[in-house]
Amino acid sequence: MIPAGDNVQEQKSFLSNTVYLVIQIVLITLFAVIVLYFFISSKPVLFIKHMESTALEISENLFSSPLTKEWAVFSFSQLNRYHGKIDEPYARHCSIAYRLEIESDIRKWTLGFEPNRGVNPATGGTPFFGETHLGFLNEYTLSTASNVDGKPARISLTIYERSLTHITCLIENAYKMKSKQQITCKMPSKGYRTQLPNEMKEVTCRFILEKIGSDMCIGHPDFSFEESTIECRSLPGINVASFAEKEEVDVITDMKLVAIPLKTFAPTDCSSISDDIIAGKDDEVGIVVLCLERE
Amino acid sequence: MQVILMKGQMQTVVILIIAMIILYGFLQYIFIVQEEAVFRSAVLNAIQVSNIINILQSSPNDAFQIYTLPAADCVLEITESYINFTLGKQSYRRDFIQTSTKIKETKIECRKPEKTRSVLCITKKNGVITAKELLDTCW
Repeated sequence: MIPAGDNVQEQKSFLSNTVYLVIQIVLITLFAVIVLYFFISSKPVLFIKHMESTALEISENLFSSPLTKEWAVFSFSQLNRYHGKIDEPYARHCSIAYRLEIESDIRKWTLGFEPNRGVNPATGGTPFFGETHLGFLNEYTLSTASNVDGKPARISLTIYERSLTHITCLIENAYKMKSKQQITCKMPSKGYRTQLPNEMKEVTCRFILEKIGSDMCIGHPDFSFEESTIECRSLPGINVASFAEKEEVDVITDMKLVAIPLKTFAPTDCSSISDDIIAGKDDEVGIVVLCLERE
Repeated sequence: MQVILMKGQMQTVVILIIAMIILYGFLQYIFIVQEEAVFRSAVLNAIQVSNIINILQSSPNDAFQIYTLPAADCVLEITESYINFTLGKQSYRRDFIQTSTKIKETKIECRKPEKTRSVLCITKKNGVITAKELLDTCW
């Protein structure tokens, strides 16, 4: 027979040991969760100053281009030839557009991509590009001293990375490579779009695109093309079917924007594109069609 | 005595389970970091090769640049308007500036025995930029 006092003592000891064990397990688990959280939530990020290097490379190419008489000495007549045009002569980067401004004591020349061409009809003509969610990605300006026909001049080279530049690059690659090309784009949600001002730092899926003359122009899907914000980039020699994506989504969604080169010259609906009308390596590309696909 | 033994065994089992969870978490993290590092390396290599091509375009004829590729399974594809660099399962595409200089399309596989590094020679001759593996000299 065990004395009653010993039994109580043993029960107390068992209880305290169990409580101690539970506390130990809880503490170890908590420690493990915290350590794992810190490890998993950290991610290496690499910052590459690609806009700076691209601006330098474009300027190097422009300095030795036919726009100049000799290295970095611009030609008055060549600048007059391109002044006011949105062409990006002699150093065109596929996904980054440039604008060159040269100012001498006598006059000023501007050529290349022109941002913010459109106006907001709702705000009485105030430019509203930043609020359109058409995808403003990066911008960088390089300023340096130069020369026009022996006279000192200041140069300002601004490069732009936007939805439009990525879309024109996608179309250009599909046309040149004669194969389907794709990029990831973001379909902005309605809630996201109503939070103004709110610039989207991704290529947007929600836009309207039309070819006007030799220029590719992007517009806001909530307005008609004529009245909406328009930004154009020169893309001569390539036929593109008009594109309009006005879908509303509840949550920001990643999608694929696909450019498909077709043998036919007639615009075709994305759902009716069969393999036999897609241009191959030996075919001539008639038109490039843009289609949206789910990721 | 039996209770103490059972308690000790349970404690060991619980600690082992927790240790395995931690190990699993760390392994997952290591795999994620490895994939990220491979992708970043593909990005860097694509950018560096495209930078060389961009600079060579504005350089005089007979200019060349030597570039060492990573000691790994990689594929460098140069088309007339972009570079695609594939490293393992990751790939990255980078555009370059289009000028009057022609760029010869090429595909270089940098699979070398014993993990030696492939050396790339990028040359500009008669207004054409060519990338090829350096065997003896660039020319």
